[in-house]
Amino acid sequence: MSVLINATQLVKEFKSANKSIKVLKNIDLTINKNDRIIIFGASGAGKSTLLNILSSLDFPDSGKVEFEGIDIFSKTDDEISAFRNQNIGFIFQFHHLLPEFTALENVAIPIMINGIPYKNAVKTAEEMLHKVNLSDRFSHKPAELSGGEQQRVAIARALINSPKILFADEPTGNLDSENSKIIQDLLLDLHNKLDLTIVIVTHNSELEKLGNRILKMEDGNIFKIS
Amino acid sequence: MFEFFIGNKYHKAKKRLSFINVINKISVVGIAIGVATLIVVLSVFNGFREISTALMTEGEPHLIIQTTNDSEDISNFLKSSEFVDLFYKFEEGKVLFGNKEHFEIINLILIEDSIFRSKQLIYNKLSEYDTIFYDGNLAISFYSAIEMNLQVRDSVQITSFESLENSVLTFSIPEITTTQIRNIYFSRNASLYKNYIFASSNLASEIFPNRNRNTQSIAIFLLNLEIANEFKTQLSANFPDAIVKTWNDNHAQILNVMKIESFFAYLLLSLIIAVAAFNILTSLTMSVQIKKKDIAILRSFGVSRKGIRNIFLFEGLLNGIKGTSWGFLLGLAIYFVQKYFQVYKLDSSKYILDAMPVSISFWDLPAIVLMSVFLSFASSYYPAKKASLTNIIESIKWE
Ligand SMILES: Nc1ncnc2c1ncn2[C@@H]1O[C@H](COP(=O)(O)OP(=O)(O)O)[C@@H](O)[C@H]1O
Ligand SMILES: [Mg+2]
Repeated sequence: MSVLINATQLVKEFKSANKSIKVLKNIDLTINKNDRIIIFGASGAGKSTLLNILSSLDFPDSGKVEFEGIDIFSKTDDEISAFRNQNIGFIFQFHHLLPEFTALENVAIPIMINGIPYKNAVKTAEEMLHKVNLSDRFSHKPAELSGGEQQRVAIARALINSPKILFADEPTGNLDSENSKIIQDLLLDLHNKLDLTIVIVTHNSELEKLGNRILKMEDGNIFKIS
Repeated sequence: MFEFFIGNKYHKAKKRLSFINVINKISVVGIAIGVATLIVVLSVFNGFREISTALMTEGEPHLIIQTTNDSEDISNFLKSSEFVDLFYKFEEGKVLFGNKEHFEIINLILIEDSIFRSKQLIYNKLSEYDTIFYDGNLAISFYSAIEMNLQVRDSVQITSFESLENSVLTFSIPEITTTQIRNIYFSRNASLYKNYIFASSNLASEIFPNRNRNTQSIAIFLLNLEIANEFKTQLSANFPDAIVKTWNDNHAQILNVMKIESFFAYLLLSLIIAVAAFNILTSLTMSVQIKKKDIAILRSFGVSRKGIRNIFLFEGLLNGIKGTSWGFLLGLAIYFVQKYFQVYKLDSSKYILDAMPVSISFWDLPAIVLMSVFLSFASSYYPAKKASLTNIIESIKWE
């Protein structure tokens, strides 16, 4: 079992006018390859903050995140951007698709960033939309898709570059239970097919069965549940 | 290039927010107007400059070379040069010229006899309408002929200033040369037309008897006026002791004034483009504001700050390029219509031209296009830079 991400002593504090909240208090976390980690926690517990730091979108006040042994915060903006593009996939609570582009283009953009020409990128994106069972929605704009479909496009987009790890922040938070079930099955299926490491933060206890490791955040600390 | 793919989509997809769209259209139309105006105005400046240069230099030698050495070498060099149309030795001096009733002070140019007689000079270089020519000694302009009531075959007297001066100093009678008018010429070059007369060099020793003729002057006409400066360099290299002057050395001041005039017109009219391009800044700033979330998403899957900056630079530049292209076509269209159909006429009682002259100088076009694209780029840069600094977390949090 090899280590993918090793986070040590992460501290993050938000200061506003007269008070400051310590959202992460010296958090240590190791993520192994092929893990399916579910992190529970009440709203405001700091789950998103932790996820954003692990995925290089945000910076800690102190502490270190090593990805395959390399300190990601020592990289320049160009390097860290390329790193995100190659290694990390995201799904957010809101689908966050680009409204001006079709489903197919939304999925294709991450590999176009990589320098792949439009035609080839679109071809790969078609295959990816097949995998999330959306073969018949290529040319729909996000506004023309249902909530569940939007989230499946977002998953296709997150995985098109074959990232090593997928971070999902409340992936079912905005869906009814039927669509939530579809997403859960899809994530499990993709994990098996694509040899993917997954970290999901949620307060939806249904997602517990997706995980091989279950953690909980509370008061700026993280605990192992199982 | 994904930056172009996304920037282009943003550029096209503004119909939702009509306010931004309106500002965009204003910027495109404004830039187009500015570019078209620049092309037209500069081509008019250029047209007038070409005409006035042509008039100013009609009949004037393209180069003059002066030497104190034997001029034979120079003559041989000029004879064998493929660029030279005509050259001749000449002398020059102020004279008192007239008959018993009228006289005036005028510049006399004495031209190598064979050339003067060959009619080449008179027909090709001075006169457009000359019809009268007799072998002979003196050619005066139509202007002088009218002023002094003279005609062909009239006898006139010429006395040089040098011999007047000499007679005062030595208390002698000044040398007066009597000769016949043999030719009357017309020229649109006001200076030649009003202030000069021409004669054969046969009269040189008579009119300027005491002159020291160590220095020789040769006038040169080239087949192509444009290469005067290069030819000057060539002459100076071959004859380092000689003094060479081109027609534009003689008119340097007025030529410079005209150049400076068009340069300031270029700068001033660029302001139209600058004002129009400023609208790009406004619309792009708004576009960046409403796309904060898109920016954060793009950043989250690996677009660098530079990539974001480029997306919005493209979005802004596309407006600039669109406006520049339309303006370019419009300007050229107006230019060609004026050139071939002479839509804008001039009052022919006041001008010697019947329509506004237009001429595009080749390098004006890239200068105008570059200015316009540069100004669009400059107004896109700040909002694009601002876009690249968008905070990912802040912008991604909310739906
Ligand atoms: N930019 C910020 N400025 C101030 N406080 C913040 C900021 N971002 C998050 N917080 C606070 O940090 C705490 C944790 O937020 P978050 O990580 O989003 O929680 P969760 O995702 O678990 O609901 C919350 O109390 C939130 O109000
Ligand atoms: Mg959250």
